[in-house]
Amino acid sequence: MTTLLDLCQLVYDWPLATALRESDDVFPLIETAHVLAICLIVGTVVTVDLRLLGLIMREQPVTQIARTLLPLTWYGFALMFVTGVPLFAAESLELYGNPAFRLKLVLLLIAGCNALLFHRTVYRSVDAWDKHTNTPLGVKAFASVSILLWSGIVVAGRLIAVFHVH
Amino acid sequence: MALESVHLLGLALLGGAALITGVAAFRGGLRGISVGTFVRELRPMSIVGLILMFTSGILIAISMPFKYYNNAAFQWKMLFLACALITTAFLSRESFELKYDGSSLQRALAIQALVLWLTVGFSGRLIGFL
Repeated sequence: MTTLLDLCQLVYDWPLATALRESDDVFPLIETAHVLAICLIVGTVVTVDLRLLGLIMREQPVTQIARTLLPLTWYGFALMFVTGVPLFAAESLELYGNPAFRLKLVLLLIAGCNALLFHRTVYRSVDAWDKHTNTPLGVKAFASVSILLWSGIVVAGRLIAVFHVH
Repeated sequence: MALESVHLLGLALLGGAALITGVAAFRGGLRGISVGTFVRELRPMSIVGLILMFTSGILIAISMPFKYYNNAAFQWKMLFLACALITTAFLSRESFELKYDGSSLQRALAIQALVLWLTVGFSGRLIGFL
């Protein structure tokens, strides 16, 4: 039976993954682009969250901020994905059992669910509080959870290196 | 390692705010929101990010001074950081005094700042590789 670990081994042995793992300059270059993507995602997500909490950009409607920044968030996700996949491929065997990496993936999944649930529930009534600075409690709860989750993702991401075994 | 996490968290906030402002400056505003609005409204986020980065960065450096003092990547990072700070300070003053009109000089400086900050990030990452 093929397990997830076998798949990691398969990816790990791929010539391109091996070349990347053993490279001195390409690996940190991709890592830098990965951090840049995280800046773009966290920056735009936190800005929207702070607006939802009524703390910044109080003069702009929520929908205007969301529509302006969401495309940038998606660019960030695209960059995060195209840099994250090769970074994972190069070290898939080490990352498989890394608790910080596992935590990061779980937090990413929860952050995704949090955003989806937000759009499916409280955001449906946005017309009623679009221009308000004091938004409904449910909206503030989603925004606060989002900020906490993304902070956790950044911290877990940094901690991957701490649990790294060579 | 907690300090490095705080350093990265600060980077995400400061870098994120800088990227949004940079994109807005390059396009002369975003969907009806002016560059000045972004500069003003994202300032608290930038300042929190900056404080997190500066305090954690200095604590990291003084906790292992010999590791960093002789590290070529660290020396380059400090040089690029100084250049990036000067460029950004100039651009912030222009936008703060509402002199930002998207002139070619300002755009060139904005690109220079972006490249410098990326170099700061890259050389920062390289510290661990040397």
